[in-house]
Amino acid sequence: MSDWNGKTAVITGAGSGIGSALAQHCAAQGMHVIAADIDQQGLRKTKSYASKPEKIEIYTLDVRSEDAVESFAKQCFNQHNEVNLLFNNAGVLIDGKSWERSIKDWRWNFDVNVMGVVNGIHSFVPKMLSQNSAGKIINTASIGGLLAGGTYLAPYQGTKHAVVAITESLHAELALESAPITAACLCPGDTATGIWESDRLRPSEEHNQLLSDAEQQMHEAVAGMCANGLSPAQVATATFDAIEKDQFWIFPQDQFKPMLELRIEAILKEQQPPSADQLLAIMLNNGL
Amino acid sequence: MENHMNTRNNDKPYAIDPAYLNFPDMTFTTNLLKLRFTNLFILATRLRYKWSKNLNISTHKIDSTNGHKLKVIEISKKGLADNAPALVYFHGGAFFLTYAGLHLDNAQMYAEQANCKVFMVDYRLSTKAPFPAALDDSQAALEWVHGNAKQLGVNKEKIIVIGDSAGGGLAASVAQLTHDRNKNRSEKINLLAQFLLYPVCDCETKTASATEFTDTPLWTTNNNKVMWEVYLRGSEYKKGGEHIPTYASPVHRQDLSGLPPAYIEPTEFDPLRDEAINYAEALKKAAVEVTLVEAKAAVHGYEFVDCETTTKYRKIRMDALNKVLGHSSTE
Repeated sequence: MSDWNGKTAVITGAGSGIGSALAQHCAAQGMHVIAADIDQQGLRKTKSYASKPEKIEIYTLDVRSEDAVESFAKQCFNQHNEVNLLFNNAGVLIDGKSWERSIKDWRWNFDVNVMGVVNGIHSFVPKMLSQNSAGKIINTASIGGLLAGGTYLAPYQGTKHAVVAITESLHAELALESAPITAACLCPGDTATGIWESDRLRPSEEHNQLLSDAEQQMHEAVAGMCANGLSPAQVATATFDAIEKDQFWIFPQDQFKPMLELRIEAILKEQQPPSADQLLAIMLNNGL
Repeated sequence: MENHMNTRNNDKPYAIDPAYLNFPDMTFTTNLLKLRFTNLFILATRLRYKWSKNLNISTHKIDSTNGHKLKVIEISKKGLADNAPALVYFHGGAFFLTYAGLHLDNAQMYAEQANCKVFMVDYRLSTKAPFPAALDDSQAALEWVHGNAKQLGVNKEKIIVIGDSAGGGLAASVAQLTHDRNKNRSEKINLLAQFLLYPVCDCETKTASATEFTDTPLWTTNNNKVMWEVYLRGSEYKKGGEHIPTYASPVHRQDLSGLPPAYIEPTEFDPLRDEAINYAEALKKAAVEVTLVEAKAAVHGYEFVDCETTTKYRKIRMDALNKVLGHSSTE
């Protein structure tokens, strides 16, 4: 599928970050791009940054709503008859102590990150299976979908683990269908996006207040780490390289693998999840 | 330096205080993501830190280069008189690690035992931005303390720069940079002293100790090279250039005259030992007042472990600090 010219790409969460970079990348390849986001202003920016803005249609969409996603899918297929790349990419981040984040916050994180992906699968996959051309569903998880135990990261890592599991099942299920539709799981590491300011997408009365200095410090540290990571454009390029190779796992940065090994080893040995002190000792000790 | 060369007998262990032998073997690589994760775990362990009840702790955000907002933590004893001496403290950690409980312990010790305000600088780490970001931040912190001395309750004639390991290197560089910038300042910054504790000060990593100590606790030949690789990545020097960035590598400065009095504390079984001694000797030649105290039987970052050797050399350091500050002695 390396000739993307004239093919169709649908991208959720295309108003900023990785989604915006993917939309611009797809447009540059000559694809018809339908860029969706709850943030209309962000979508306009995506279009204005693109080298081929005329290739990008924008669509205001709340991925949490199954009805909205269903009408979105219908409109995409009415206009283009096929979707060759579907990026279920919209994602937000809630962090903080598990027991202190409100249930509303938890639900918001799961509704966007998990149900957003599920709604995309539900509305698009049946139509893609009946189209007469190849297609791929790429769900954006995170290395946080493979690594767990991050301090104050339960909501986010919980949603991303769900995305990984859902995508692996989707892959297995699609393999049983005769249509040339496949799935892939995108797991970016530290990337400079606006996800650490996800509150900007919520009404002001729902904005988070991290309650302790500890949570605030951790938030700033991880956000700072991501700010120094890859650019969204680099992630988009790496993602396309992996799509060309038909990879299921898409890891724009693979430096997290030693930490994944550590986790798997602890699980296989039925050990307690390592404490911060132990993790630190391990990190310092064996030069992973 | 010959006497140091002979301390190692290849067939026998180093004559290190056994209290330090349980240090974890640390092996760093240039995997930046791993270093960033390491910092998250250091932060997670640090979040449990409890300051002594006798201290006031406050945090300042100050302006540094490239629009960076720099965190400076002010630590002082409750009831400390106004116009107090100030220690601008640069923590160690190979330029790429954030401060750990040990550094907070040090800051606390200085504040409690030397009757001064400690300003601990959360400079940008090399995982985030290579040289000169850390030096820019360190210098910005010193100039901010000096420029705001009155509001901060600081005696601007009694400012000391102090640092351990990479922080010791930053303290040495800040002393040099301050000396140079003074030429164009209407109001000079007269540092009372520089305290360089097992400092990093030579990017060439070619001294006898830097090549010999491949397996010492905590700090090794390998780690030393990785540290410079990360810190100077992108610099012309690391790309094979001949010009050594002198403010990154204090020992390479030609003219050392006029620098503030130095207390230099190398540790015996440390790849950085010889560069600290070399710097001390060079400062002496330039007529800078130098107190050189080699911590025998100690290793890099020895303060991580409480033992007699640690107590001994910390006491010597605190006495020297109190002497410079004109206080009678450590209580």
